[in-house]
Amino acid sequence: MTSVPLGSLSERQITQCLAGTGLGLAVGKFRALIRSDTDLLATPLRLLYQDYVCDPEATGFFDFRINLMRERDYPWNDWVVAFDWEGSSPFPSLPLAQTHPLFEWGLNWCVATASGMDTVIHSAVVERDGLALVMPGQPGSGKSTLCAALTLSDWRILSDELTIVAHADGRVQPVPRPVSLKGTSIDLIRERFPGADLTVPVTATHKGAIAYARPPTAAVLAVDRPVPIGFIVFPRFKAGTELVFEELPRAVALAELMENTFNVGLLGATGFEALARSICSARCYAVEYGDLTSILRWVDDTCTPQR
Amino acid sequence: MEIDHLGEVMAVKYPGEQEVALFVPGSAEVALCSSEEWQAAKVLISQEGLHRLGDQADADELPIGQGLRDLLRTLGASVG
Repeated sequence: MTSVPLGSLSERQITQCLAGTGLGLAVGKFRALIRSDTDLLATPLRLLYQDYVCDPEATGFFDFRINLMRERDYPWNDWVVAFDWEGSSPFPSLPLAQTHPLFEWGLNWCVATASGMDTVIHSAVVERDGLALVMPGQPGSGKSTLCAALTLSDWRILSDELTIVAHADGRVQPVPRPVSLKGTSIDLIRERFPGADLTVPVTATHKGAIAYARPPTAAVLAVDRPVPIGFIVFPRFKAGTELVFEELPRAVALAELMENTFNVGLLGATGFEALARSICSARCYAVEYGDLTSILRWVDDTCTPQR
Repeated sequence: MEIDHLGEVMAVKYPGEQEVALFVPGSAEVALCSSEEWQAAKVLISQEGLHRLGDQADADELPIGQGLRDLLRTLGASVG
């Protein structure tokens, strides 16, 4: 089996792999086989996943075999792109221009579905000093923007969308992926981190304009370093407000986490107990903030191993 | 961390905190109550059984919060 960094392939080679037998890609502990005939994946994949190990010959076992293929009902219709994982998909077909975001959303779905007994929380998660900082939040809470800023600072990204807590030991499993940025966050991050690699925004998605930031090489290479949960922060962005925060009891944080968890209802008693144990040593906070500078300063001051 | 199991109910309490998180497997919901409420509920459940909590009148007499009453009433109805 051939394993090389995706960045060692040209865009033409990537396009050929995708259109042929597929491109194998290691994402965290998962191996994905990706096929696409849209010609729109090679550029963003090469930029964002350049440090990830890939298999251009598509050999061996894969956790997911996913396809992003063009389709149209009639010759006079515009082409659209459809995602499927071995014939299954929760997504509608989308305009062809949204091929890359659909790939990222689809891969999130695959990872969440394939995580088995591990608890999967809808949240961003980063790490520093050996402790994970988990940031659950609904759309609009600012968690992705905060995650991007921390990732491009001195925190290691573990995931921008799915916190996977291992059932066996309660540690967060890294599945580093590109960080999604929406709307005004795109320019905000571009201005604050001018050296960051960002994709060209895709507009007119159901989430508005979307771009993705490449995860740092060190984070991609540290995929085998899970860490315990040290902090849980529930962010709430409200433009123009002063930062206010309160420390939460862990029981309250546990209840909030459950509302953001995809699969605890399936895991039952053992899953609940495992999740409860995983936050035993965590400090938990709810934070409302009005600008990125203040929340970054607060995280730096507060989310340290010793206060 | 303390975990109590009482019938279908799991209760989690962390050191140094007053709040208790209650969970019924299969519901995917977590209720919160105080330590005092949970102790009172435990006594009642252990003495009277979960089925007693399905009775509206009995549930209203419990010295515990509404959220916990509703949760335990659901439990009572489910084991009825």
